[in-house]
Amino acid sequence: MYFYIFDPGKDKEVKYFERIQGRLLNLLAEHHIEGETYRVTSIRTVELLAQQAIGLEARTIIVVGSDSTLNRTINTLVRSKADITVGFISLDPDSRLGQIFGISPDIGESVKTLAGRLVTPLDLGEINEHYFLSKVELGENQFPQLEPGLFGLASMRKFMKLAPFEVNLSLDDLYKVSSEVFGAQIINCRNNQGCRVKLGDPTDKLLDILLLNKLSASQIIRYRRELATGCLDNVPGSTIMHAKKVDVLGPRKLPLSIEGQVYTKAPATITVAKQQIKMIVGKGRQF
Amino acid sequence: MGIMTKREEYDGSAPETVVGASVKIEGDLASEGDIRVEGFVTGKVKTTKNLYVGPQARIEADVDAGNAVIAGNVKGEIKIKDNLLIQETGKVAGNISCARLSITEGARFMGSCTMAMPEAGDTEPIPEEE
Repeated sequence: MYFYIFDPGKDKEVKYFERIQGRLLNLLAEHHIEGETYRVTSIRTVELLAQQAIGLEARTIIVVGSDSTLNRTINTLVRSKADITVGFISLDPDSRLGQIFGISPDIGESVKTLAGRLVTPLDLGEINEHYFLSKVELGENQFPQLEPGLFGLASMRKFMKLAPFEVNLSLDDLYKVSSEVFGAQIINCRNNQGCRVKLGDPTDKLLDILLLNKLSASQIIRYRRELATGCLDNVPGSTIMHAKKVDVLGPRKLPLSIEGQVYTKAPATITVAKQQIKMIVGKGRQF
Repeated sequence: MGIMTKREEYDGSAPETVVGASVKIEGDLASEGDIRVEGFVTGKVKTTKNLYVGPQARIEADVDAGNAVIAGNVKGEIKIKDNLLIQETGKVAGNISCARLSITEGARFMGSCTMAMPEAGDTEPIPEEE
């Protein structure tokens, strides 16, 4: 049985969702993957609906919403140790997870992907009993993909404001890493578009650790375009390591965030979770 | 021997590990893929693939690798299965064991070197002059 969680989100997405809802239901019927549909409200949260799907012994949950809706659904499923396949239809044209999993922002294409049912077990990262698909950013310096602006000036101004920080890690209890960095990421999977190195394969049972060395003002100016891609490895001299378990030893209270939201502070342990999630992916997936 | 710089070039093999110039590592740095060191490592460095030690790198560790190019400073026992190249900026203090060794002019090496001798059957006979 297919169990659909419709999460229109807020404002702009709601209008978009209402516009496409009829077409989406028709497409699902056309591809014979229709099922029970539930809409998220302030009372019926994503977590409650995911629990309901588990109770109804659904074989597949299709999340129609944002990356955040998908993350919340997966967290509920993994915590409940539910063996349910997850599909995703993104209502956000810039969905990072959609791009990673090869799910087109076009409704018609994403329904085709679901109907194709190419199921892949994917690794999850775990941090303080919170599971994540993408990456953890250490410190306050975030590196989203930016529009560099004229001659890269807009992005340069942003990066000039960032301050370097010290980071101390222990990897797989084998070796300790210390460095003064400008940015640090622990990646389970990421959008590799525009990146020099292909990192974040969610099927390799490894986390990729990416450290961006401290940069001088002249280096920030020189590498402003590389920084604006959001791929720290585009800047020469970056550190790339791989581990199953990363202990963030310090400095104490260093914030650790996922998708811009702080989840915990150092010291903390990030691991590849024992559980995997079965996900319907597209042919254009990045791994 | 070519040290690869992009992970795409691996085509399914283990990923590359890169230790940047400002990074300090203490412990056993082991990888199933290539390792490139530009920073400071103490402890052990181990890979079955290729190891590249950059000109600014400093390693105070025992090294075990498939192939290696050393352009920096290495202090410790070095065991290389196949080729070892010490480049002109390389400084090695420690005993080496490898199958093939190349030392570029200007490089510094202090220690002993053990190389497996080819067996009698492996050598090609010298053709007799007519």
